[in-house]
Amino acid sequence: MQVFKVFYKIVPRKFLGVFLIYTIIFVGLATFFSRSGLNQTENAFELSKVRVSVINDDHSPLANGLENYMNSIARPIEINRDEESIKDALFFRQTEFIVIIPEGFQDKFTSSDHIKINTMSVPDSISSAYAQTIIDSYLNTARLYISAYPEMPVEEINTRVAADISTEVNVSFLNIENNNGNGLSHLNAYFNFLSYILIAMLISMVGRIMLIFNNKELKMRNYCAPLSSKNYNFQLIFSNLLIAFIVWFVFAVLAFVINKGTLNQTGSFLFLINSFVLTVICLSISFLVSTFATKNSIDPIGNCLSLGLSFLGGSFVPQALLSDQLKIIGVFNPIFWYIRVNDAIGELTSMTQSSLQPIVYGILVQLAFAIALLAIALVIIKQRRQTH
Amino acid sequence: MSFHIFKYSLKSLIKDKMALFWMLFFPLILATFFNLAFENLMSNENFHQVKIAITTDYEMPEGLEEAMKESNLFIISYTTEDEAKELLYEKEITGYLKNTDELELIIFSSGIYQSITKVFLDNYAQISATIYNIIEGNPQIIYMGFLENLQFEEGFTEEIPVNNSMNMLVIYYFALLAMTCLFSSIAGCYAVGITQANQTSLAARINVAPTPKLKAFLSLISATISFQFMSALIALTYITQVLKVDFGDRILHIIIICLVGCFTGTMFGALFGSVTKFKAEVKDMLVSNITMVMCFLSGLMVLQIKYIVQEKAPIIAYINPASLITDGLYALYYYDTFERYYLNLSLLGLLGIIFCTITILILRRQKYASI
Repeated sequence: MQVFKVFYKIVPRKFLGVFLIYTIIFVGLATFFSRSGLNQTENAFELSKVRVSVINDDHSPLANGLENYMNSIARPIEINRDEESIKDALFFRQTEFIVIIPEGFQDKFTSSDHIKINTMSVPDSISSAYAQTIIDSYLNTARLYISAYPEMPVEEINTRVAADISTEVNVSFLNIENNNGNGLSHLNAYFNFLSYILIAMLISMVGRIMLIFNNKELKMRNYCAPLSSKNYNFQLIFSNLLIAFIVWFVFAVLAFVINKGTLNQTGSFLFLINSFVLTVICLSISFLVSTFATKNSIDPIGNCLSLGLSFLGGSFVPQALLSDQLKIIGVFNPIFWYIRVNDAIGELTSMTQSSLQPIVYGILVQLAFAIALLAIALVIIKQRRQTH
Repeated sequence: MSFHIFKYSLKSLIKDKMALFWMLFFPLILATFFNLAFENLMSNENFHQVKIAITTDYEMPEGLEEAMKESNLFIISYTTEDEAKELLYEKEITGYLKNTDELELIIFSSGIYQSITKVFLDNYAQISATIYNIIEGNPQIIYMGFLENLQFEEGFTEEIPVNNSMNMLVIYYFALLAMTCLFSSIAGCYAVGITQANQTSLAARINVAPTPKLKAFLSLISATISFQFMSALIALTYITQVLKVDFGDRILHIIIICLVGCFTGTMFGALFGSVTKFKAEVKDMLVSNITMVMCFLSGLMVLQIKYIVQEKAPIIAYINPASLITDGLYALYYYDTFERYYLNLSLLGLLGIIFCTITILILRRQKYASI
């Protein structure tokens, strides 16, 4: 087991630092993603979560009623009143719709020259159109009541309008599980993001160690040793697999530490399987890279590969939003398949044959990638040996 | 003499493949990835009609189907409930409606088309409720022409136009440009390394030459700044001309802030190099990582970070060069006035000058008795 021993002498001395830095950065980012609600599966598409800020200058019963109503059905966001804060908040979509109720709004409400409510929003956004509908239907209903019961106090009208307007059509989900927020979307985002860190880390660790072993002089020395090259290679592969396994294990455990209470969900173990397959792919990629990279070029190559494959595969941007061209090219990108399987797991509602089929298929494709990449790497290594 | 040093350090930078990669090609590659990945993100998706099924098991409420057809929002199909479930599982339809005791919408997952449908149905239910309540409270009202004068379409809001330059994704490119400028810190750190005789043998050689150290240092630094500025310009040209990202038309102002950014970045590296005493390799790694953290805080990886930092910890936004560059570019892009841009620009320049002064004070009159 000499090779194995040497391998694990190199690892702590050279790569513990890399490992720790990557882990800390990744854990920081992943925690941030899941805590701040910025995770990618929740984008601006859910109308019930439109972020609305109401600036109420009127403080009349009608205006207050409108404000309360808006705040109760949308997500109220407090912002400062100065122009810069408003503009910045809109640009970064911190709030999507700002309502400014002018002074004297209620007094002139029933007259023909009523004051308009000022709104500011992201141009052409669907959520702002939705928020506008809410305001209009509230006020239209209020006006209807006022014209029907001119004597009724505004407070009474407000309660009536609020009661009417809160009439909702029942919505139910076909699948119950998906509905009760089982935290799988957090897990999904975590594992999607993991693809980036795994490639970057394994290329930087395994690739570099392999560079040491691929050193021409060292290799020539090793080939004269009374150790069969089969045995030598076997030990090397075993060491690499072990280190990849450790890395995977650490991140797999972290996944359930960060996202508490998700371990016993149906999809969780599928995420684990899929991410393990990904680890094997990353290992193959690092093997391949180490056959042609040099000590200086391995960092740039590793960076380009990790960023490129994950960007184009959809680790950062939801796959559904990628352009059509990119989706076609994605067929040649193992990470694309990995993310696709992850997303399928995230949407999984029941373990039926038809729902599992795309997942199994995607995992098989990834395995095929791993084998193909490894085969290419081995062919190159063999050819090198013969030319020495 | 100083031009000589300037010329050769510039040449050595251009011939250094690693420098060329990190300072020039890496930003270009990253920009290309951004472009490929974000292509579809902000373009408003075309609206398709919502495919909805109505179950035929029970009668629908009066007027609903007509209203749905009139609205032109839906493609309606009529099926039994089992068929509708099947269609929904296969995602052929957005949802289906059934009316057993009351109206119910069944969907698979939430999303924009589901929300549109719900809003439409809610509206229908609300209006019916209002009319019902009014008539119930005051039945005579029907005879006063109440139903004929119903109005639900009046608008009560007026949009204040904000700005058409609202593409949030440009922040990624701004932060990328900031990164390009600040990567000069690595070269700045290196430049200090070769003026301190106890660091490298090259530095020892330079120190015995009769050129004053300040002169040598300033020439080296200006070579670094020039090289980085060229990279930034190439990146800028690539992003705006090849990738067609719209940065607005104040191109001169953008170039100025890039130049100042390169200066501050270089000086930051120089300061770091002169204050710390690590091996050259470790220094490089630390400097590039610190730069990346700065860029992270200015929104390179997650763009909302920029806003969060600005709101929660404005101090960091004011002393972080990456934030200053990004915010300066953002102010140019989004604001009509120049105040915020000039504030960022002068803070950035001020930081650079402070870094520069401290570095010179440290390097000044360093003598080595023996190495």
